[in-house]
Amino acid sequence: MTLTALLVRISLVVVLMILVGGVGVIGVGRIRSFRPHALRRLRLVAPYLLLLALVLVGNSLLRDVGPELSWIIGWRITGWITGIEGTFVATLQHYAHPALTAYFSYIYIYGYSFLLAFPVVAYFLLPDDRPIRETAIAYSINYAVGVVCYVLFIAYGPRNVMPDMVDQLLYTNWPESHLLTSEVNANVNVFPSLHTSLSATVAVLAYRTREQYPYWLPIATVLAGSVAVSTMYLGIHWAIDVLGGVALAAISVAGAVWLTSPDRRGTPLDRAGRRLRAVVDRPLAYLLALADDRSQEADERTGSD
Amino acid sequence: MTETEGEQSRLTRRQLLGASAALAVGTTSGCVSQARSILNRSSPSTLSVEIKTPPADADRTATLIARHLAENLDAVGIDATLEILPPVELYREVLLNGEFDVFVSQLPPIEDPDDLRTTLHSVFAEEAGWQNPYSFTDLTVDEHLETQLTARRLERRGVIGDLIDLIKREQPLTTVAYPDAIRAVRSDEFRGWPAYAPRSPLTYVALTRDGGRDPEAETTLQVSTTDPRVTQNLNPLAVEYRGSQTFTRLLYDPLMYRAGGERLPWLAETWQWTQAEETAAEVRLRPELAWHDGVPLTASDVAFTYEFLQDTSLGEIETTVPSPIYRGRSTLIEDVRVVDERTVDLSFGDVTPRVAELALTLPILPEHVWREQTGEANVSGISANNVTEALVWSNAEPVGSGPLRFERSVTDEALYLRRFEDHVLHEEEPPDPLRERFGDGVAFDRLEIRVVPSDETAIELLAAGDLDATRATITHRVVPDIGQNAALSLLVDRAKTPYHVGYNAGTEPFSNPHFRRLVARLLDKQYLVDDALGGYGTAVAHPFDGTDWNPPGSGFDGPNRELPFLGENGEVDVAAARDAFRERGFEFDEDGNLVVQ
Repeated sequence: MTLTALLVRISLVVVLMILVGGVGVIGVGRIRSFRPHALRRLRLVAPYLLLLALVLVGNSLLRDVGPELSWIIGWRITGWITGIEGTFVATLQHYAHPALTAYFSYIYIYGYSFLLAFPVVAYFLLPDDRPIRETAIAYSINYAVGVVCYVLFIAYGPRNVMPDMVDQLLYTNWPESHLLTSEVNANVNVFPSLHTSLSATVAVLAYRTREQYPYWLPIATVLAGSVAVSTMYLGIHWAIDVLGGVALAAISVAGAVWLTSPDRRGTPLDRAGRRLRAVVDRPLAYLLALADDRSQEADERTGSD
Repeated sequence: MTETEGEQSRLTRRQLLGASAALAVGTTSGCVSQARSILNRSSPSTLSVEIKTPPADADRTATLIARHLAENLDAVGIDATLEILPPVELYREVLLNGEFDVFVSQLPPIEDPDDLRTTLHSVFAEEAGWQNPYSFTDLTVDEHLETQLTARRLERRGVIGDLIDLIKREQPLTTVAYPDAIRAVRSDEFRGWPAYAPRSPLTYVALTRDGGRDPEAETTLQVSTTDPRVTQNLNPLAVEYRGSQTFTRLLYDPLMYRAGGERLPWLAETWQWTQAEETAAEVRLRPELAWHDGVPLTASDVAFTYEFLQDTSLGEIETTVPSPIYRGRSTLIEDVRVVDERTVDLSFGDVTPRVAELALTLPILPEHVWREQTGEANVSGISANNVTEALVWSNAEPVGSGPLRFERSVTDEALYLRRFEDHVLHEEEPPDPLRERFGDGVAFDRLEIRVVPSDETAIELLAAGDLDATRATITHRVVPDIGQNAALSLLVDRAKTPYHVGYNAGTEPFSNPHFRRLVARLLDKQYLVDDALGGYGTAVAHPFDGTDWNPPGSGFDGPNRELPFLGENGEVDVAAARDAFRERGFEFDEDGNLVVQ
């Protein structure tokens, strides 16, 4: 299977999972009642999504030059990590079982993708726009800080250091997935685990929105925990990477909460943010108004029939 | 907590003041000599050793050998840490900068005993590259390496035999095992894989396509690699990017190929040896040779190449800057003289033709391209001393003369080469013996070398028909997967690149041959063959073990009998090992750590 085929398959599975989650967690009623507000909401949230997109583009550009740069300025911490945690990951793999391997492989690829994508959809549909803004900002902080860490810290994961004790279970079990992960990440980018930090971020945000989406909290918690374990179980990350990921999640959520806090209204930072927003808002408003006109015209036409 | 710390630091400062006062008093009271004799003696410290090796993604076996050694050193009481580096970084630090204690990697291909001359002769100890990276110096070894140049047949065999004994004794490096070259291929379109050594460029030239080459339809041979370096840099002299040079040698032709005891005239049509005072050869090039860019290839390119490899600055920089690769073979030539467009005279000094002909296997470089690279390397204002542009440029669009020419390269993804129609192999009637061996030449229009993340992925792609073959040496761990698929064939051959442990003899305690011998005894070679290579390899005592240069005959000497492993089944016997170290004057402190002065 080629990379494109794999990507198509993952997208299909994730879309399917989101649809199921949409019915189960969000509820059909909420989706229906959202429709008239869709454009206005999109206009409100778009700058945040744009920020996230920019961070992602910057992230992927930096990752291309990252390893090269790392070897010049970065700290080599593989030895330090193994000195502290020793063979913890190998011990974890003692409990390897084909069923567990299959479970964690799917969690690592599909579960993780779903975990990240679902809140964006779910929070977009909420009347309260703070969760979606928090999510976009928290994701952005994760990726931005993560890529800086990848430049500053160079470490190989367990499978590259102790291949006799730690099996690269994901790739022996599911070789094609290596095409994807090697595309996304260099093998010296292990500290911190972005899989863990983003999953933990989602879980904490799920806790903050437990009243709006009570079912999402347990699902997100189980998935996030599984993702964190999977990174170690599959021999990709060290326990220290996972701890680093949890710390990064804490920083990201705290940063996002602080930045979106209503208490900050009127502060210089808030005003700066608004000015920045205005730059994006004007062309965006124009585009959306155009789309709005069209859909109204369409509505009128169907109405006249 | 903070208070006590403050107290302590104040106390320390006070103590320090006291100490310096005492020293001042001591100076005045005439105890200078005693103080000096204490101060100038370095206090014994525990030894720590750093072992550099590529990561498992790049070379799983090397990582495992390094881990095995690190664990056994640790067990004995020598603090060993693994420093895992990507190949480019590893070779830059080890080969170019000499920054290492110990490193584990495969050696470059060893085809002739003379290849060891550059590896071990003291004259090369100061140079950067694969020439003596170990800073090893030994007069007797030097002498043998020089004598084998002039010795004939049986006499040379004797010299090499003695040299092998010396290497086994001195352990300038420890060869661990020759791995098997394992490759998986699809058998539905291309045939003839095993005709030449797995990593020889001739393997690709000798392939045949079922039903012959179809001039109408475009055919591509797709091969996997897990080593992205070939997509990053195509400079045949950039030592940190080069492995066995399979693909760069397809781009750059030599005068002749030596393959399986046969000498195939390549760019050269003929060569004539003369042996009066010294050995010389008159080389006659084939008519109407051309570079990939259409410029004619002449005798002056040949002369240029040999001069250039000796000094890539061609005298522009004060010190000579020899090439870090092909160094040994280029030093065989003493003088080059262009006779006419198609003829060069090469003089070799006191070297037998058997050795001298190795110089004819070097890739020939186009003068019109490389002459511009003789200046001092200069990257955005940073100029490195003693490095020429030739050694650092990436040669992103190489111009060679080989049967394949460069088409396109996508960094970390793929390299595409295309059949070079003006090559002698692709003439209407290629001259013999080329036509006999290679028929119509290259059997495909295009060669795609695709970077894949792992051999497991390569097998999946191969099974799905997205590839025609894997790289020449894949991990033994995919062998069962290959066996399960009827469309795939498994090829197993012996690789020419042994795994070895290299010591920096320029640093303590590796300058001590006894210490190297003891470290060698912490490597359980047979265990490593079984464990790290899954049995696909052979433990060896020296670089020529298992070849017909081996003194006992053509068999294997196997794990060095004179230096047996200090333990069993990979587990080191700590008490016995420590005794062995103590016997050679090494000491351990009360915590069991080896101490050095």
